[in-house]
Parts: sequence; structure tokens; C-alpha cells
Amino acid sequence: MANVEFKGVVKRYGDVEVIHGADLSIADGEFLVLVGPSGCGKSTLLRMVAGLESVTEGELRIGGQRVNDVHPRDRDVAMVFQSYALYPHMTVRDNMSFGLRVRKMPAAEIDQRVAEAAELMELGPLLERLPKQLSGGQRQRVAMGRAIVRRPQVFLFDEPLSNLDAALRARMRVELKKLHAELGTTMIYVTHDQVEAMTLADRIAVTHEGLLQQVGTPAELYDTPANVFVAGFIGAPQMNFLPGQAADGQVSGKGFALKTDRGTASGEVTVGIRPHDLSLADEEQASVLKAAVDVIEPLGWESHLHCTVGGEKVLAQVEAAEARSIRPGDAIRLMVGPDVIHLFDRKTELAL
Amino acid sequence: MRTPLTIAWIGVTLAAWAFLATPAAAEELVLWHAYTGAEREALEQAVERYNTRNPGAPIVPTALPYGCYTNKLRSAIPRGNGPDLFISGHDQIGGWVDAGLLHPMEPDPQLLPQALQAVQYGEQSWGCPLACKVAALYYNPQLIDAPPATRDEMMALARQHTTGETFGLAYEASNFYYNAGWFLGAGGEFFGDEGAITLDTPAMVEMLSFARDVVYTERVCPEEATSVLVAQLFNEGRAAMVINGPWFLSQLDQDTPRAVAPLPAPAKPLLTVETLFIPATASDPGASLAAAAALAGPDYDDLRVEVGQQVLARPADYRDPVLAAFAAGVAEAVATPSRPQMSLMWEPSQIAIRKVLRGAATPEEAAEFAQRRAEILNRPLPPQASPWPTLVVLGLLCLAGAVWAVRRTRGKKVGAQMWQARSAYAYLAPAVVAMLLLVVLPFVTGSALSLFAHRAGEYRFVGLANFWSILTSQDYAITDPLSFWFTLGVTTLWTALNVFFHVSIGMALALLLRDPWMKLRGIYRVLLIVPWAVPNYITALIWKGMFNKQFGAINGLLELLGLEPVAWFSGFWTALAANVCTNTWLGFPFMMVVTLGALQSIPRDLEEAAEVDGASRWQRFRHVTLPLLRPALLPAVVLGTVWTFNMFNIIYLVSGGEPDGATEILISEAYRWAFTREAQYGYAAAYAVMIFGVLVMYTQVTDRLTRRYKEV
Repeated sequence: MANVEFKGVVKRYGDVEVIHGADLSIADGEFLVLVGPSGCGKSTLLRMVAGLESVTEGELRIGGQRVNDVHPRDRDVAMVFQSYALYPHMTVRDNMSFGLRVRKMPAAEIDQRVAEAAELMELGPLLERLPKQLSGGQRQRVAMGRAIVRRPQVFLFDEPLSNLDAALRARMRVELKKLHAELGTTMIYVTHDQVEAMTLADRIAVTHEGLLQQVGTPAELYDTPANVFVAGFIGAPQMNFLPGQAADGQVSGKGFALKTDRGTASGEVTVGIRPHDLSLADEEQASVLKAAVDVIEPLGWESHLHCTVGGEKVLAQVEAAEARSIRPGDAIRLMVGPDVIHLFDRKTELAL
Repeated sequence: MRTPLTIAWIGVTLAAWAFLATPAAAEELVLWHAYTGAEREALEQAVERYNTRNPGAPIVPTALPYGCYTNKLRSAIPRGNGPDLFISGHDQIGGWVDAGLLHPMEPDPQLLPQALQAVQYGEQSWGCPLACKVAALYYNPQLIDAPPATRDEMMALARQHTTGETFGLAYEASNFYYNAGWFLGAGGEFFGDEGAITLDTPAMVEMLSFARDVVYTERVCPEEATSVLVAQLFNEGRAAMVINGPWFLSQLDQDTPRAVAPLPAPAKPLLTVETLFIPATASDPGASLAAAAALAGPDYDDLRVEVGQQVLARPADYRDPVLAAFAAGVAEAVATPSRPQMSLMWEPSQIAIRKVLRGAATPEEAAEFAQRRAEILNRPLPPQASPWPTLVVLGLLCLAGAVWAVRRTRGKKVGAQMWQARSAYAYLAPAVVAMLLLVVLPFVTGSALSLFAHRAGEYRFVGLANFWSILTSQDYAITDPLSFWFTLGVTTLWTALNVFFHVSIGMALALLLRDPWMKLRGIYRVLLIVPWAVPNYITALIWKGMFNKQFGAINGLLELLGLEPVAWFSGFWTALAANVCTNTWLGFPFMMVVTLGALQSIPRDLEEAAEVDGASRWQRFRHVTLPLLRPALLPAVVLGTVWTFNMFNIIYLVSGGEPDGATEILISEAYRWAFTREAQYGYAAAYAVMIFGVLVMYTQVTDRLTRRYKEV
């Protein structure tokens, strides 16, 4: 087990720079999720740890040792690929033991490790099958098993669940979390799905356009996003954004005037409100958004109200009982607590 | 639906009818020849003159390519598709007469006695001689004032003019034709009384000794000289004298100084008489005879001499000194024997010369070898066998097939089913007909032919005697290059080496070319496919030149590195290496392309997974890439094996079987039996059937292997 450290890591392909100096420290035994939209550089970061991509500038350390020029086989990391990358001509057993066999480990130890991993991943009955004889979920478990038998210092996961259907994905998420608890090994996990990131991670690193936007626990990212991108990326449904002006503990814009705790803020801002924090206001409430209802989506115990506030789209999650009397086209008033309003500088998009 | 099909069928039938029905040209006389250049011009002018004088029955000359000329005659004449007249050398008369292909004729008694003797076979004469051809001595008048009168004088001159850069005498010393003058001049004969072969004579020893002296002892003549090399040396003024035939003139540059003299005494060169023949199946023999007599007559001699630069078959005076020299040579010449066995003499004599030239045998040993080899090739046909056992076996096979077919279809309404699917059968029919004509028919004919022995137009049913003779190596030791088993061994070695190099080089290059960091890889890829795109006989000839001992690029390179030059075609292993080199050059691009294609289908992350798993470069190739390439490569390897197994061109053009036929493969050996050893078609067909058998067994084995890998 080991910690992983990025120090000013830059990656260039020719003249194109795809990682602009990443600084990130991953603690021993931590489950870190790299999340971001496709093309943000998260996979490149992971592949640099694996040694499949070289580091153009900066320093990469695993367990305190600089690994910039260390061959993948000597880094003691294991990786699970999105496609699983199972060797199609080998049985499950051979797939799992390949990394041990090429390192000339004694056969008895190989058998023991494969047996342990197979038990952990419930692969016992499948050991003599070929990958093409397995279902998607089984292949995924074999890919994990292949990583586990290696007992590496660091596990790397490159979108391992994205080829599974939704139900299986949800189950595998739980299994992964259990696995991490059992093994306690450092894990770096790449995904574009913020739900996976939120549910699995000890800490999340949000990446965008080759830059680390924010690193923190899921709660930190949710409650105090560092900028508009993180605020919009973390949390589902997405946060609502409205342009406005702030002054004297008050923000206002087209169709709304709200009280806020962020009293120091002033000037042109972007107001961020999570749909969940909106509720229907009563008549005497002054701090409100005046909204026109476009569409109502009843979801059982809650309803999604798709509204327009001063020309901007706004989504509100309200209890179904409260929304029962509302019809599309109605003008409603929405309120929000002053402590949950997020304010961002309009120009820099940074949190205020 | 049905109407267009019917129309198509009628159209096809009509076209076939029109194609098969030979148009009966009543008055025209078709004349086949293989002349080119000035000789063709002379013939065509002669025909023109003849046609203006005889407008009633004009002659239509048709020029055929020289390479396929005799085979064309042999196949067309017996089927009645031949010409009314044809021109050819006289040396095939025996074979043609024995096969009943010629109509007898009475030549002009005024002709040269050698020419008259040449067209005689048995008690009859069979053609009208037109022109005579012999080898003569060309010399450079700027270097040599007067041509040598004797061989000793010639050798003295040759020594005098041999320096590091120039040769006193350049000729194809390994070619029996150019040496035959010394053999005949020393009183040599090919056939003794009652047609016995007489190559093991003092005359042969003397000829071989002379060839050895010229090339091996005195070194006045370049080694491994080819006709191209000889012409090049003479044109560059680097050869003082050259022994060659009249055709050499066309290879000389305009301004090359040249003069011709007859071969010095005691040479008696081989005489070839260009002769006008009438096929036995000529539509109107009377008209053909009249036309032949006229065309061969003195009225057309001016064209032959002035335009065609030919030496006449009748006594004449020539103003042109070159023609006069050739005519003087003709006076001393001996007509090439025209009996069919003559075609067997070339290969043994040729091997004997080459053995001597590379110092592998003394002239006496080589002469003895030539005699022995000629006797083997001329061995008597196997006795006639009763066809009944074969017919009974065939009948039983047919019966078994019929029983099997009936059992398979019992209880099924085959006729009704076929009628239902009739449009499908109609669509299939053209392909079926083509397969029957192009594959099944030749295969059946070839297989049937292997049960016959053929010589001189006579087919004799011999049952399995050919196979027995081949498999038991009846007439020669099993280690003799003539033996089937020896050749099979060489063929297997040749194929294995080639496929190994094709696959390993092709795969290595494909793996290199795949690497995305390689700049210009598109260009490399195209460059590496080029060897494949060049016609292989051109490549073969280029490599043959590069392996030449004295002038080749490869020995030049070895000498630059301070190594001894290698006589590539003098030893078995070096000759095989030259063949394999050439064929590897031709063969690796195919394997490279196949591997490149197969690599595309292997996901890159499999190798990355192996890399992270800790596999070294070699382990990744060995355990991941190679097993995944195997399904695509196996069929390519099978295909490549079959191609290489039957790769005739390279063997024929590069080593030509050197040394002594040791590097022949089965297919080129079959070719020799059929086309250079007195047309032993049955024996050659048996070889072909054996080749087929070997390849069927091979594909069976590989098919099983492939199926095992298909599981993955």
C-alpha cells in the first residue's frame, strides 16, 4: 500500500498540452475518484500512474518513490480497464494468474491467490471458462479479480462500470465499496458519472479542461463548490444558475430578490441554488423568486417543477402534496433559505 | 423472370456455337512462323510478292510468340486446327514425323547437302529448307587484325587480350550449343549405331577439357556468362572475341565494331536449318506443296539475303562479309540430329559442362555422368499394361458413388426439389460450367494422363507404372537429384525456410509499422509492399544478376567487406540460399499486410493490460499478441505454403536447378519431364498427381490445426 503524489505534472502531446500542471496528493488507503466530463484529462492522469503515459513535466511519486521513468511492471499497480481487456484466448484462471506467472511466482502461491480472489469475487465456478462465455457483469468481476490477485500497492480503475446496465452498476458500486473496506488499498477511480463519484469516494478530484478544479470529500464539494463548474457538475439534478447583483446581504435579479448570509459579497454575481433547496413560499414571504411554471414532473413523493424566472430556466424539487394544486402556466413564488444560496463571481466564476 | 433467363441461355448457346465452329477459309493458306525483326520483314515481303503473283490462293502469315511456338504446333496440328504451312527449325522433325504431324515433301536437289540431309528422316524428306544458322566467331576488328584460323591461334589471341578489365573470349561457356562445335570437330557423335547414346567419348572429354581451360584454367572467358553479359562486354569493347549465333547481331549497338569469321578449325558447329513444313492435317496439301516449293525457291532468295540477313540453304556468293562468314561456317557444320532422343541430350551435356566449369568433376567423370544421365532419361517405356484392373476399380468407385447418392436421397423427392429450385440452378450454371471446364476437366485429364507413358506421339497405357517408378526411384539412386524423394526433401526444405522467413520478417515489420510514434510510416508501408507489386519474374531476374559470381552486386558487397566472393550457384546450400533470398524478398510483404490487418483487430488495451500486469515486451508478444494473431495468420501460412511449394518461377529463373538439378522442386522437375526431356507427359502428370496428394495431406493437417484455434 502506498500514497500517490502528483507534483506539477504536465502532459503534452507534441504542441498540445492536455494536463496543465496537476498537484494532487492521495493518501495511503484512500479511495480517490477523478471525475469530469469526457476529454478533461482524468484518464490521462490515471494512465500516467499506471505508466502507460509518460510524464512530460513535473513529478509523480508512488510510496514516496519517484516513478516518472519506472516501467509499468515495476510500479506495482494494477489496473481495471473500461473494456476489461481480458485476454480472450485464456480461461478466467489464466487471465487472473497471468500477472503472477510472468513474474515467475511459484505455482502453489499462484493457485492460492487465485482461489482467494475467486472466492472474494464469487468466480469459483467460472474459473475454467473463456471470457466470451461470460456475461458482462462476470467479465467485470474477472477484471477486478485479475487486479486483486496481484495485491498491488495501488488499484487503478478506468470507468470500470460504464459498460454495465444501470441495475448492475448500482450493485457493483456497493461491492466496490465493500472491497475497498476489506482490502484497504489505495484506489484511484476514474469516472464521468458524479453519482459514482459521490457514492464511492473518500475524496473527489473534479477535473475540467486539464485542470484540477477542486479536491475534497463529497460533502465539501456538494456544500461548498469552489466554482461554477464544480457546482454544476456535482449534485443531481443540476444546480440552478441565475445572473444577479449582490449588495448588503441581498441578491437580486430579474424576477427575484433574495436574502443571503454571504453578506460580504457585492457586484455582478451568479446565483446558484440547488433544486432541492427551493420550496413554495407563502404570501407574506418577501425573499422570493417569481416563477412561471412550464412543466410539472410528478415523481411520487416529490415533483419537479420546471419554471422560468426572469427568462432563466429554474428547476424546483418540491413535495408532491404541496405541488398538487399547481398547473402549468401558473405563476408561483419560490423561496430559499439564506444559508444555502451559493454566490459566484460572474467573471472568474469562483465562489464568493 | 423466366423469359430473360431463356434469352440469356439462347445467347450463350449461340455464342458457344459461333466460337466452336471453325470458319472454313477456302482459298487462303495460313502460314505460321515465329520470326521477329528483319527475318519477319523478309518473310512478309516474300509473301507479298507471292500473293501478287498468285492472287487466287494468297498466303496469310501469322507470327506466333517464339516461347510457345512448338507447344502450339504440337497441340493444334493433331486436332486439325493447325496452319497450312509453318516455318520452324529442322531439329524437331523426328518427333513430329513419329507423331504423324508432317506431310512429306520433295525439296529442291540443288540445295546444300547438309540442308538436304537435315530435313531427311527415315527414308523421306519432310520440308523445304529456307535458311541456315550456325554459331560463329565475332571479333572486334579494332583489337584483332586477322581472325584465328585454328583453335590454338584463337587461344593465343584470347590470352593476349585478357587483362584485368577485358576478356579475350566471351561466350556462354556453360551452354552446350556453343561448345558443340568442339565436340563434333573432334569426331563426336550423339548417336552410335542403332541409335545408342554416345556421349561418353574422347570427343566429349576434349570438349569439356577445352571449356575448362577457357574458363577455369586460363580464365580468358568470364565465369557464369549469360547472353546479356556477353553482349554487354562486346558492346563495351571489353571482349575481343565472342562465340555466338546470327541472332547476336541484333544485340549489338549500332556503333560497336564487329567482324565475323567461321569458328576456327577443327570446329564443326551445329547447324539448324530453318525449314518450311506442311502439317499432315493441312486442308489442301496440294496447294500447300505448290506454295511451299515456290516460296522456298530462288525467286525469293534476294529478300532472304538483302532484307532478312539470312544465309541461304543453297550455294551462293555473298557480298556482305558477315553473311559470307556464316556461309563458310555452314559449309563445315553438322546438322543437329532430328531424332526425338536429341532433346534428351541437352540437359546431360549441360550438367556435364557445368560440373567441369565449377571444378566439381574431371572431364572424364563428367562425360561418364552425361552418358549415364542421358541413358536414364532415354530409358525404355514401361510395358503396356492391361487397362482392365483400372477400369474395374473405376467402375466400382462409380458404383459405390451411385449407391451412396441413392441412399442419401432415398425417400426424398429430389426431382421435384430440383425443379422447385430451378432458377437457383440456372444462376449457378455458368459458374458450374466454368469450374467443369477450367478445373475438373484438366484435373481429370491430368490424372488420367498419369496412367499413360508418352514419347514421340505414342501414348501407351501403363497403369500405375509411372507412380511405381517415381516412388521406388527405379532408375536412379534415391539420393540422386532426379529422385522424387530427394526433390520432395528439397521442396519441403525450400517451403519451410521460405514460410519461416516470410512470416517472421513480415510480422516483425508489421509490429514496427504499427507503432504510432513512427514518422512517415505510411511511406514505409507503401515501400515495403512494392516488392510484392513488381512482377515476380522481373524480381527473379534482378536477383539472379545480383548473385552473379563475377559481376553481381552481392559478391561486390562481400569484396568491399574484404570477404571472398561466393560462387552462389556452384553449391547446393548457396544456390538454395539465393533462391530463398529472392523468394523471401517477394513473399514477406503479403505476410506483413496480413499481420497489419490482424493487428488492427487486436485492442490496444490488451497489450496495455499485459504491460501493467508486468509482462516484458517479449512476454506480451508471446502470450498476448501472437495467440491473437494466430487465427488470421494460419490461413495465410497455409496459402503461402501452397504457393511456395509450387513456386516455379523463382527456381526456374534464379538457380535453374543448379547445381546439377539439386535445387529443383517438384513442380519444376515435373516441368522438365514434360517439356525438356522428350515430352514424357505421363511421367510429368504422375509428378503432378503426387504434388496434389502431398498438398491435400498438408491442408488436411493444417485444417485440423486451424479448427482447434478457431475455438478461441
